[in-house]
Amino acid sequence: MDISEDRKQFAEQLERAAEEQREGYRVFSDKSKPVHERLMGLKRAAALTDEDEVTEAVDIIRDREDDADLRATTLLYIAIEVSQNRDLIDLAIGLLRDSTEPAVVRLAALRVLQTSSFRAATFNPKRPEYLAALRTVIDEPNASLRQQALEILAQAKDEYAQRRLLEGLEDSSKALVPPEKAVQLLGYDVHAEHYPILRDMVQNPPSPEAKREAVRLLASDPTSKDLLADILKDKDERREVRNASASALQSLAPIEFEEQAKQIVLDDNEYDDLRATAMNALTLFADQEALSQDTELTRRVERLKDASPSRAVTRTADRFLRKQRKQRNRTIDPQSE
Amino acid sequence: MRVSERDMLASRPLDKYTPEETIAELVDAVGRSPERRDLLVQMLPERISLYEGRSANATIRMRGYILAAFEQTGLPEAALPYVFEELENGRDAYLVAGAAKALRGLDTPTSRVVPFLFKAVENIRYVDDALTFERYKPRWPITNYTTALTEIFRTFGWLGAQAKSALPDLEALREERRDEFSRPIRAEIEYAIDRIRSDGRVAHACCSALPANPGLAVHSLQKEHCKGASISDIELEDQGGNTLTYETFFSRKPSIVVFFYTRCDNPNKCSLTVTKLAKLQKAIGEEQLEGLLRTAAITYDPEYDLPPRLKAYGENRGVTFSDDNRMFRARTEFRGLQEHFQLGVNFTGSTVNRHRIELFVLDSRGEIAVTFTRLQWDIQEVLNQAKALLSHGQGVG
Repeated sequence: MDISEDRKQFAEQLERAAEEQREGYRVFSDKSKPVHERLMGLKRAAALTDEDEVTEAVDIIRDREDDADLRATTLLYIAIEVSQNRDLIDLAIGLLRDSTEPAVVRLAALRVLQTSSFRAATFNPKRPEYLAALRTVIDEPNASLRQQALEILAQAKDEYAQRRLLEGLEDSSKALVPPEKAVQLLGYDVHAEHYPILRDMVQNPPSPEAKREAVRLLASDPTSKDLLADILKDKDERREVRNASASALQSLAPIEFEEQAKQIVLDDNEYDDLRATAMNALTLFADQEALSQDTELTRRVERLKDASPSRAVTRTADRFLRKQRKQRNRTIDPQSE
Repeated sequence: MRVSERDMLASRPLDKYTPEETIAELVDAVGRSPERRDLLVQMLPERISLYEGRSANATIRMRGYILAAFEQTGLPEAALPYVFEELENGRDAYLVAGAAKALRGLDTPTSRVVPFLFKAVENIRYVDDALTFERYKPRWPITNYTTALTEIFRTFGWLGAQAKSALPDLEALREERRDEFSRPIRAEIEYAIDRIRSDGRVAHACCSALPANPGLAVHSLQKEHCKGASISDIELEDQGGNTLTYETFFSRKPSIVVFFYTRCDNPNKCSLTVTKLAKLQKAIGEEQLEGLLRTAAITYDPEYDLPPRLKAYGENRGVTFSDDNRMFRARTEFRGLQEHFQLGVNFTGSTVNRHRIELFVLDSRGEIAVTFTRLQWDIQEVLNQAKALLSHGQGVG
């Protein structure tokens, strides 16, 4: 078979694509063109990796007279170059820190820096400067910028971010983010002093979402075992909160949870999703040998498998019963596995 | 001295109720009255009430601020283990920076601190941070911040001639590993090298007042560990869910016991301790001491570290389980264990907020014979201490 024709066609395609990119770049760099055309040109140019292209892109990013969206998009297009060049990291940190820059440019700088932070060899020496800039940004009026900076700091278990989040939970006038977001961010660190606040939030929730989030995070606080058990038992409680407490209790106190899970499976007045969660936990984590002795439980699960209108319940019931059968076979014939 | 400052320095209890700001004011006041620096040392043991109920970050803030103050007050010998501990094992930039500053409070520079400073460079170079000791709980933005690496290299420079042995490694950092550091840090390295080179004094390692191994303590008498209730009946649950009393396991044979918890996020502490315990078990086998010694790892976090977590944590780090080698959680009375071993640990709720590295060699009655605390213990040194117990006839209960 003669492949020279295919090769020729492929080379032509490549050349057309390259020309398309060059044309895109020409439009992007032509300041006389309207912004929307330059943005389209940038998209056609695909990536700016050539040294001259990067230099020109940096000029556009630095040019405060130029359109903010264009500057931000240009910055995103040289993200790979930024991650390999400490001077460009400096530029991005400067943009992030500068409160006179438009939010869209600062958000782009944040995104590029966060991507760059994974290239440890180049980025690590810049880490202190980056963290200092993020700590400044958490007081910005722009909610998106503030929240993203807080998210990055909270994941790093940052002392200052935690301090400010706790301040906001204690005094809502100082809050940087809504309470449910604040507890979620504090939850990145099991060593933060947020458990008393979480317990208080469960008793006096500022919003239903905050309560669910607080219950979810109490999964790493052994002193909240009883509180979680009470929530799980409370049929007046919202089902997503009870579901969250089931997961939390299962992680924290599997033996105590097992008993409650059985009761939930046996109770025909329980929510389907909660019964499915309980059966799933029993299937995955409970002592199967002990469970196989509970004939009443097995009988009820068989009934659920055949009669429940909920697909989640029938599916988890089926899984539960299959595991039980396997357990019985193993008991009869220990070599069966 | 101002009256209020005198009040501040008058002895009064500092406990979990003392606001952090009050503690910071006290530290500042001691800074102005260095003759009271022992007050700062008294605030360093992790187990004191001062740290109870505070977050890990709050304990870092307090301890880092205290350590940094030693630069001004002078660094007493009693504080050295805390400083070395941070440099050798610390992964928090604020604490490591505080420890590096503290060394500049030594009466005379000594070359003995050089290995600790290099260890700190390796520990912190991926997690360095912008920080300041000029104010407690500062608000950002801060323009004239420092970093842990900055403080470490400044201390190299401060050592002057005493850091002559460090020159080849510092030059390697400057030349071969320059890309790993920012421009300002490279300037600090350069400045340190210049200061060391230009210092005409002669280095005398022999004149150092530093103890040889500040982490090791051999207990000839057990009195300080015998106060409080008996721990014989404390129930322990092992990684397999088997329950037994303290006395059942820790009697009739000498034991080596370490403390840890699975949620520790400093890889130089619990994770490394349990990994080294696995290596210690291998060394015991190689010296054909199996059956004569026991090993155990006990969690600080008994309510969270349930048997499956203990088992997975140990297995992932190479621990071998057997009747003589187990990982435990206290089912009852962890406080009793805490008292008996005088554990260097504190909690917020039931979560550990701070702990030291600690290993104990117990005799065949379960009494503490030797402790290794704060600094990394050496496997052979531990084994030698256990063998000494066997050879002194304390191997059979």
